[in-house]
Amino acid sequence: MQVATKRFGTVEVDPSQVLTFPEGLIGFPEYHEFVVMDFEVKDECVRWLQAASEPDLGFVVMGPKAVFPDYDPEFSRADLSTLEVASPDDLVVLSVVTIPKDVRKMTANLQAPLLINPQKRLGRQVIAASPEYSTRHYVFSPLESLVKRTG
Amino acid sequence: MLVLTRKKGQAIKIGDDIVVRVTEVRGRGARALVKIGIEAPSGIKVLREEIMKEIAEEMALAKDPTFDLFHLKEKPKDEQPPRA
Repeated sequence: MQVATKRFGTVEVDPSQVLTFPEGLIGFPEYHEFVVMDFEVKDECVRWLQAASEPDLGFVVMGPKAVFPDYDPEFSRADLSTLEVASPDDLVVLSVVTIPKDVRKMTANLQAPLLINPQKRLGRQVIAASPEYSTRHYVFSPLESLVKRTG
Repeated sequence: MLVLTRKKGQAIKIGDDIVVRVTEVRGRGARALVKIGIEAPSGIKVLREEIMKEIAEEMALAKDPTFDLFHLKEKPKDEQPPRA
């Protein structure tokens, strides 16, 4: 299938790679299908989350553990059961990154991560019950060193 | 909206499984604070009202950034470190 994106133009995507977010993302409840894409240069730390039906709706996402190895948010049992996993260890966790004009002030949202069941291609944005995580954690410097090392 | 008056320690039951209890009342006027305890089954989402709004606002800011990986690979011209 083809996915139109503002960022990369039209991209050919294997339909089996489409993730379904039954409730959409917080603030964007009307979009349910997303694809995780690599940037022009593939990098394991930072990826792009693209709405399949809306070229303008894309986000930079990152695996939070790369920068915050101790990241261990608590989620309600209800959130986990809708993702059809027995244990949180079976989930892929992604944090949405906010990038202001000054990229060095980029932040990751650790309070409302995306939880993905990779087997079922099912995703949900949930709110961590743990009070220590906020919507803005600075990530520029650690990401910079990680990307340099791997790419 | 149903409005009920409660004293410290008193509670309100909602359905069979939910109890909302006033556990502490502190301060006066505009600075008054009320601490509330909530018992609810694990399937019921309990959130401070403003949190969803904050996250939706952050998502709107995060949407569609003009960002490239080279931003992380090359030093930005201005060398000021970010303010925490």
